[in-house]
Amino acid sequence: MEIRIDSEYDIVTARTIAKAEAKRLGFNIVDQTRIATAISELARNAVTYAGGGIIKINEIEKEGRKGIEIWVIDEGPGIEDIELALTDGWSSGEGLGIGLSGARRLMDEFEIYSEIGKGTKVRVVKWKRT
Amino acid sequence: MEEDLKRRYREILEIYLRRGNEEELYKTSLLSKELIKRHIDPDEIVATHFEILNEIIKNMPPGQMYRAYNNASTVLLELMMRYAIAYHEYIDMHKRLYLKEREINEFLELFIDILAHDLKNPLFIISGYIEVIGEVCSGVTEYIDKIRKAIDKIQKLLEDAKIYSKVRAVEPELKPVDLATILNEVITELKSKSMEKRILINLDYDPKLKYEVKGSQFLIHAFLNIVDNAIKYSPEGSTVEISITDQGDEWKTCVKDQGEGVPDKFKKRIFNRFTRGVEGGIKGSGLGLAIAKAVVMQSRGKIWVEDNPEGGAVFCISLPKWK
Repeated sequence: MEIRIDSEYDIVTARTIAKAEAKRLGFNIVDQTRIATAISELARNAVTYAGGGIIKINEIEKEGRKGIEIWVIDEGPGIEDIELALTDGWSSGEGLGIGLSGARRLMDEFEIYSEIGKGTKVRVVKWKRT
Repeated sequence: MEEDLKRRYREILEIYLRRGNEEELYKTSLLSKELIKRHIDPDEIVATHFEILNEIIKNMPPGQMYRAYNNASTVLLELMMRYAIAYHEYIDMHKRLYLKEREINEFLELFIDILAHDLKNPLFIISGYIEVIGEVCSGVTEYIDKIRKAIDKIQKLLEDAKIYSKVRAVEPELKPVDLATILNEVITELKSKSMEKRILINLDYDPKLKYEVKGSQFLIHAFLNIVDNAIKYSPEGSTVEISITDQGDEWKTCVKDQGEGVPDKFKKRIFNRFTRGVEGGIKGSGLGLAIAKAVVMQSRGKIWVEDNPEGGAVFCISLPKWK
């Protein structure tokens, strides 16, 4: 499933779809909220810093466990210092935007790829608890 | 929680209870960012949630009320999600700070070790030649004496600096320690100093009892320093009384001297000379009391000074009993 995000309104759409997918896969309401919050943050980043992007939501499976995989891809300026961007909102003093570090805490897997001038790709996964 | 935030939350809750739409949850998410920024306590948030919810649903028929209660929990969940993250970030930050502090203390220990080592040689040369000068020149005994005392002071400071840095750098192992044993050791070690001033040290305890406390390997330094202090500030020929009393869960050791006592305004400061951000600047205390305090704190004990009603000071250390 692919969703184009250009504005804040699209973030709501992305959340709705992600939650619906998560619910379909059997995630409980707390996990659904975690997933929605994570996708909110990543989508907000894309809209704020890159003018928009694409969200891909997929069902995945590994060793008999089901999970939800979400890609947030933008073609923005890229992140210069990923380490810094991953620093907790707390210590980076940005007044707690959560951002990347928060999304990482909420999900089970987190990967980020970024190239200056080309864009950023973030992949997060949440596995269904057995 | 400020009225404007309450109002926003109330709006969100009302709309969500009517429509169940994701947009309100997204707004909640943004609101919680605001709440954390303004340092609103999570328990206040939860309380406000129920306060507002109860107002909204009070005129609803029972069936709708029940549904509303359930659906409202989704909004609360959204609100608290960020607090959960903030909490984890806070814990991690503390872990990092703790490790950083450990690093700094270990560095300090190494630094002082090396410094003390390097200073030994020049000090040795100075004290050696001072003796030579004392023998070669006449009429300088008084000066030589003063210089010798100053050198001793430097050496003591260096030794104490080493101990202090070690106390802070090493993770203390708390073991059962017998107070009577330690105090007897302290008295023995300070015998020559006390005899020099004809000071009598009285240790009042029951040799049949065991005075076991939780202590680290550095505990003896705490007592060494306060007894040494008592001797230093006692007039010649006076008595220093050491007593151990039962305080229920703790053993309290008091060292009473007949010196000049400690003025009230210094009673806290003398232990905090080497603490950052605390008023210091007391002359002549050295590191002794700072070491005593650091060691006592490690054993989760307390250290303080009172006035001796007969004139002088009473330094007390209370330590938890070993159970």
